[in-house]
Amino acid sequence: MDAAATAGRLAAAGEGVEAQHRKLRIGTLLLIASDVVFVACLFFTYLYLRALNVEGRWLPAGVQPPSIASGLLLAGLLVASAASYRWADLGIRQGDQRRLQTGLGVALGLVVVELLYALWQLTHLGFGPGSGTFADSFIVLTGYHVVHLLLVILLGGMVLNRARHGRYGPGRAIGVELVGYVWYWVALMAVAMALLALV
Amino acid sequence: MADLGPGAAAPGNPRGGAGRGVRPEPRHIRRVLVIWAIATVLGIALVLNLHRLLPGLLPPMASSEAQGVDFTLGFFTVLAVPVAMLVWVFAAYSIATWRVRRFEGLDGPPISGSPVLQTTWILSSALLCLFLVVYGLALLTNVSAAPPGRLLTVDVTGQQWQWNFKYPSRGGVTTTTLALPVNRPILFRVTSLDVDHSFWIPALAIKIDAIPGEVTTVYAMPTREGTYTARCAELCGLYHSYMQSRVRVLSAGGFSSWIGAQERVWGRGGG
Amino acid sequence: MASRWWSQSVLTGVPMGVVTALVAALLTRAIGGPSASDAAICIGFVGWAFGFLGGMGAFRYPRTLLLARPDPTAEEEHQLAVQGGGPWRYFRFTTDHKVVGIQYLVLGLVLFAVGGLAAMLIRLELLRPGAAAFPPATYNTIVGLHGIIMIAGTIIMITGPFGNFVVPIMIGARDMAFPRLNALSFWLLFTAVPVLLCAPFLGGFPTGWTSYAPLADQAPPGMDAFLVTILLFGGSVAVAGANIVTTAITMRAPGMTWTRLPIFVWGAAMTASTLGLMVFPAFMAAMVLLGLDRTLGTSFYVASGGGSAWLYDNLFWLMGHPEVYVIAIPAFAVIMELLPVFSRKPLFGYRTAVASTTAIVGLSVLVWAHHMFVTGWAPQLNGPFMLTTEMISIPTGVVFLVAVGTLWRGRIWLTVPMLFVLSFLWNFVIGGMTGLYLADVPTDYQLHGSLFVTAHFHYTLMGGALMGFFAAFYYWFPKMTGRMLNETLGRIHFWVTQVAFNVTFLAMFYVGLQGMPRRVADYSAQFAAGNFVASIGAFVLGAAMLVFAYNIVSSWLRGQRAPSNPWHAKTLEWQVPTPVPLENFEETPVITSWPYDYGAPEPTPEGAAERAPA
Repeated sequence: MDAAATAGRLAAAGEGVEAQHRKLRIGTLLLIASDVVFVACLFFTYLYLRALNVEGRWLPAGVQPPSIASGLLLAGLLVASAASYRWADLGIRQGDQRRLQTGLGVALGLVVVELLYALWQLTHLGFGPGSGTFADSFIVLTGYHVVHLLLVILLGGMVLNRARHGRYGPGRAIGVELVGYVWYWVALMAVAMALLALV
Repeated sequence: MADLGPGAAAPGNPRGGAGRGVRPEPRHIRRVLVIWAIATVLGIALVLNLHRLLPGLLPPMASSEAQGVDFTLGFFTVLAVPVAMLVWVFAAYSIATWRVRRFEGLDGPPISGSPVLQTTWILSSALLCLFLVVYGLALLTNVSAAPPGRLLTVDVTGQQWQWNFKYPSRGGVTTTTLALPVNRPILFRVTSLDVDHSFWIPALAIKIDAIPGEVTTVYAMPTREGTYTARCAELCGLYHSYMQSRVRVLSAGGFSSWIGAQERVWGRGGG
Repeated sequence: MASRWWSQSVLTGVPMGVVTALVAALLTRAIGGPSASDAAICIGFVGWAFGFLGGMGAFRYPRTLLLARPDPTAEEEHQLAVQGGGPWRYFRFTTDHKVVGIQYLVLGLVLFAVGGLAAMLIRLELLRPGAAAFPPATYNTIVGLHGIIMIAGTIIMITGPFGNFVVPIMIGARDMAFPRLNALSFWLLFTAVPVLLCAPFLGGFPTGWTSYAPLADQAPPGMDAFLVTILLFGGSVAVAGANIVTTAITMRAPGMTWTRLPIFVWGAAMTASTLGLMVFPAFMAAMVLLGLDRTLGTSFYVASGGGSAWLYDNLFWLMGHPEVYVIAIPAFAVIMELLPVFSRKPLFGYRTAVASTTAIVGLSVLVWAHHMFVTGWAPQLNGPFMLTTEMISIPTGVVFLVAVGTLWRGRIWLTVPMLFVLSFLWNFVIGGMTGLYLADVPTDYQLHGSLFVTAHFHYTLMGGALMGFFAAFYYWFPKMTGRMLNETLGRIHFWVTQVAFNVTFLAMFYVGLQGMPRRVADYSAQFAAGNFVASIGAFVLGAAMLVFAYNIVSSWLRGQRAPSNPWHAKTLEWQVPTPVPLENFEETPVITSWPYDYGAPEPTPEGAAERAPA
């Protein structure tokens, strides 16, 4: 089997650009679904321990939860970032390279701010792991959120770099779309975490 | 089944046409149903006599809970026999009747399903399930409620790798062997000091996990005097195999004198 | 252009993995001090996985993307699928789905050998009362290793080898949807194996495969190896699952409609893989929390800090019961795939079978707490969970109707794979029926945690699912290796296995009913007879596996050459030549009928596929 036949293999496996895109979309969404279950288990943990620990056992003396405003700030930053990303994605579908790079830059910048804020928050909580179940649940959720943010920065950096090399265009922007799914999901988790502070 | 050798009732050449292939042959159905009925009767007879063939098959029935459990085990097995035989007898009959020695390039009839049969199968298994659920719920309600009578509470604490039994109504007497009065309802309140354990007295057919920081409860009504074993049924580390205690079910008088003696020992010990 | 023969192979992967592991562990130790030894072990193992995958070249394509380098050319893709050809490609990062299938097959067999050896050691300890063979810590570790190796092995045993090798050909595709992810899923799985095998040298783990906390919190560092194993394994399951499901959805040849899809693709690719992908993260989450408890001093499972063992139980069984169906459904699918071939009849009730399989997947996520009837967690939910558990027996029972309906009036050809299909019918009925007692709460109060449970799930997972694997193995081995297995040895393997299996586990039912708990090293004299029989049965079973192993090795090396369609089956994989060419099909096949049209008025002699220009 020579390389020419493999070219045929590539063409046949995809059966056209639209089929390729469908394949990538389904695969990405399945992997995200797997991550959603993981996060759902962390939320389940938070709520389970919240229900179990009554009368001050949830927040022992000295453990002060971060303000609701900080959760809303974290969520707001990411929602704005995701919106900017979406704006960039819709732009490149019409061939607007400038809008793609601007939107991406803004989105990425907001995520970096979010990351720095989340790290600052984690190191200035006034409590640490082992300070009761609120502290533990909060830290594991925020910690996993930080992992998500790092992933988003890596993927966003990749898209931005490829955008600067002109790798995207109308009908050739599936990579932008796929990273978008991760982006929206991470933003959604930030919103869910902000709501958790109300429980 | 010797008279049903290979090819004894093989259908005609299936390539001869779909019409001949699906023609019903009631002889097979009748035969297989007769065999199924005989096998079911034999199977049920075997199940009902299993405890005679295998001595000590079930732990001694020493509580009202154990009677319910033992009855249910037998009852479910009797219910399962006809279902299992249905699968096995039909499969065995098919193999015995329609087995070919080697591949001959011939196919069987093109039957790809029977809506009536499929619906009947699903509905009847659903009915069987419904019955099992209702039966189970009734039994569960029965087991979960406190048996009638004056309740004796025993606090059971598991720790690696032993059980401690405390009688709160008797001045907190704590022992490492369990004694229970016969024909009196017992409430076990179970907890653990370290890791998960599971408090199991096979002869009483009760089991409940010992969870650190939680108190779980189970009722029992011992009905037969004797010496039994309480064991840990949840892997709890190095010496899990040896985490067991003696359980004695005593007559009312025997229990009174035993607990009285324990109280005196306990009192002297400064507890 | 062609890379060096040693690159992208275990020769670069292993050293890089070991070095990365040491650097990561020592750095953690240096930063965290002596109290960070558990963290150093965990991070070291994770470092091993990353370093190994880096050395295998798994990150080349991500790096290409990240640096916006030109996309791989067709020539490079071809090189990645071939990797120089020859046996060495099995030790490299090779994307050809047939290579990955063989890799999974061999790794699965190795896992079964190790897990089976552990089973022999367990039965040796239990041969007579007295716990004479091993110290208790060693014994507990052996029990745990046997459990997790067999669970992992049975999860991958059908979907891994046959899902990868057979499914793409069955649906008329040239490869999986994501060939690189396919290679990644195998090598990620591979990284988990040495991590787990390190556990005995780190003090072992005393918890069994269920790794119940808080016992797992206080366990020796072997527990860290266990939990990282689960994370790596879970990652592999997610990647493999997403890949195979996407393949089955998007890569079907023209005319391969959902109602013409072979039942094996429905079972192994569509339903079981989706389920695996969706439930395994629960186990991973449970292990992450356990790792934090062990390294950072959190108290998710520690009662004194506000945590709860019940939290662990819930997370674990949220994965734990669906996972049973991740193992069983591919086996059902094999059974249903093979029955029409060897009965020479259409599959009986195809649509009902597909619907049932899907129903099992849906119901399986609603039954987890039947493992928790005796934990005391939410007793008011025992009734509802009893209901859902009984309900799942309805779609499961359909498998038997499909089987008997397909056998009835067929022309039954008792090949070795068919023998294993039939043994499934015997064993799985027993496994299913004994499940009734465990679904019923009051009888479960008595039987839970006893050897009755052990015997029950061995009847379903070994007598059922593993027999499905054997059936699949004897069935597809000729296509995968180009050699026929020795039939006489196959029949010996079958009969000894079937008899010894039943002796072993019927004896185990007996001691379980008598009241013997599971996972003990020692027992009282009343259980001696049953245990002796079970041990002897297990040793004979082990001997049968030696016959199997000899058959594999000798047939693979010197067996009779396999024709392209030895079973005269109609699915697509039997219509392509043996050995299967790299592209599988010269031209994309066009499907005009379903693969079970046996006995059809005018059967196409070549089978279901009619080649037509793409």
